[in-house]
Amino acid sequence: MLCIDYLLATGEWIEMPRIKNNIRRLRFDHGEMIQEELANRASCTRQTIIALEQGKYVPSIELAFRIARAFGVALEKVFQYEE
Amino acid sequence: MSYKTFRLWQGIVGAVIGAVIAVSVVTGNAIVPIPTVIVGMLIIIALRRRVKEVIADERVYAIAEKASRLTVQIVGIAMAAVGGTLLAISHGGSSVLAQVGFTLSYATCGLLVIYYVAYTYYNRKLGGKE
Repeated sequence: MLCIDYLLATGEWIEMPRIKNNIRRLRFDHGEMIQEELANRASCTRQTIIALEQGKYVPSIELAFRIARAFGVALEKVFQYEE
Repeated sequence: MSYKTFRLWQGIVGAVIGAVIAVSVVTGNAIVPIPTVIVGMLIIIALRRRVKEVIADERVYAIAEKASRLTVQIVGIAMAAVGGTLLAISHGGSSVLAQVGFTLSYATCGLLVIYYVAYTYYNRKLGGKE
């Protein structure tokens, strides 16, 4: 009954993510791109960009690629995994 | 249409629906609210399609998933606890309490069954082999 195990599990979803990003720096490196413009380019909401910059949310691989593509850089230039 | 304009129209449509339902309740009319709610929902869906901005993305869905899970946890545990308590209290006593206790207990079972079916469906859809 894996589903019940998951339902009763607690705590793991409030851990802070270990993936860091350089979105804020990259925005300023790209002509002080505003959050809304990046959100439009990456097809996400401005709230998601804010959450990413604050390190409160880790994006899916698809969104991570879209953000990297919006800046025209490789994925590793935007996101890093902290050991 | 911008998201702000959409929110404004959403509020207006919601207020109109609320007013119609309130008038219907006062006048005892049970037929008018149903088409009003349906038409209101269709208007909101049509307006939403005109919005160019991204309204909901993966973060919104992730929040909804966590909120849903927490809701199932809280409601499931609360209903089971209250239902069990009522059944224990009503033993040989009030039949009303026993009925409410049975209803809550069966509702908890139903909730878990729906959760299990939904989990199994998505597990298979996403490639799991449980």
